[in-house]
Amino acid sequence: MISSTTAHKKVIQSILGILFWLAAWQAIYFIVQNDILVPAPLEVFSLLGELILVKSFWSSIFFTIFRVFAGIFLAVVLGTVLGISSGLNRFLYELIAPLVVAVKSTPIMSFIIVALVWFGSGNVPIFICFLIAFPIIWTNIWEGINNVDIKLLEMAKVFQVSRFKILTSIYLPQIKPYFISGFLTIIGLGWKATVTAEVISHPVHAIGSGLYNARVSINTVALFAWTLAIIGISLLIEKTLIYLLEKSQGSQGRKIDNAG
Amino acid sequence: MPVKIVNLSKSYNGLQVIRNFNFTFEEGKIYCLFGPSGCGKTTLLHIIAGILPFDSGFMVGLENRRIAVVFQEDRLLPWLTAADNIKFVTGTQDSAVEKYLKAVGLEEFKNYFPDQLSGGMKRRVAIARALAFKGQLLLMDEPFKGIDEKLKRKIMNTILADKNSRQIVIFATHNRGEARYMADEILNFNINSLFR
Repeated sequence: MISSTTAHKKVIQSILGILFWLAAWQAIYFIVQNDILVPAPLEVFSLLGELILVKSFWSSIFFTIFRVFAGIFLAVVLGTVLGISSGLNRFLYELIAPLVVAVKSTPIMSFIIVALVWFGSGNVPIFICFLIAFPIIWTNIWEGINNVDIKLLEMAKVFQVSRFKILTSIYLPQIKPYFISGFLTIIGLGWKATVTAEVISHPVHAIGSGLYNARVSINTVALFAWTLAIIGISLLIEKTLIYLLEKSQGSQGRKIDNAG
Repeated sequence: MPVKIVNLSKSYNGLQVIRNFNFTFEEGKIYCLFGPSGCGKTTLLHIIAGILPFDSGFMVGLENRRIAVVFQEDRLLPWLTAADNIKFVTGTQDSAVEKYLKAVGLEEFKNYFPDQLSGGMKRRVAIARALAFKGQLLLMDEPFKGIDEKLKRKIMNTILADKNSRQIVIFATHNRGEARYMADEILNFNINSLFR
């Protein structure tokens, strides 16, 4: 009873928060009085309502989501494998660390421009999403490996436990919270990076291309409508993934919450 | 084959904890390292277990020997149940797991995770794990810490009953009663003087 009341209160507070910012937007619209700078919220929502009835809107969303997931999938697979390997092998760490530092400190635009030369426009956003996500996953996994409890490893060594079992029963459970934390970060960042790359590379079906077309035609209403769609889908994906992660942890009976 | 330790020395940051230690642990015997905290009992056990390097000397008779350890800390995997913690080192011999959980009075707690167990219960899981492993050398560091007298006696009897199936048992304690009840031979140590 208490928890359902708390949940109810939380929903009301969230709705009030959204209503406050919509009211603020409406107020700014009234103050600025310039549709090109700040469009009316009602106009934006009405265009969004029209967009969701158009097939190409959904194909843009589908392909953008596909690119985000493709980039993240590659980053997760490579980041996890290389993160674990680098955590266990100092030479491999020294080999990959400078690359990761370079990728982290290079402006995303440089990569997009280079990628445009290397790949077709549809693959540029996947590559960019991968580049943004990989260092985060790699770093988190490496950190997780380095924070593995030495005393447990000593115990396993004394009892002559196999390397495979040490990996699956000690390393993996201990890096799990680091992985989850990195994964949740890259979902948001990967989404932003993918759309940014789409705006520059404008592939045929892409949310970023929708934004690009709105920009070149100075259609601020469409720009805001696409942006709202991006925020909505990004939130939906993030919440769904958090729910699935929590559910998967719950089904395993234990929650691991010792991330550093 | 006995375990022979010759001229073993170990220092931590310039402080010598063990100096020229010589001893032969004979097969079929239970040895007690008796002395107050900080006199180097844990250091010696860790060196014999092979998880701590030593400065000089040598050891004979540890090659290819299965070693089971009850560490001073329980060192249980928090994400595994009591039974799975034992299986982690023994493989999947359910019968051994059941047998030794029963021996430490935890048969009803086999599916409990370490954070659902009391300090004494975790200690008992750690003991059950070491016993179920069937090591040829059993090392125990303050194994009965936090365990009540009745259970302690029951566990000590299990170890004594198993004595013939394993070759050497070495345990450290500062409890004279435990030392007298279990050990065939007691090695007395003083602070800063593991200088046998």
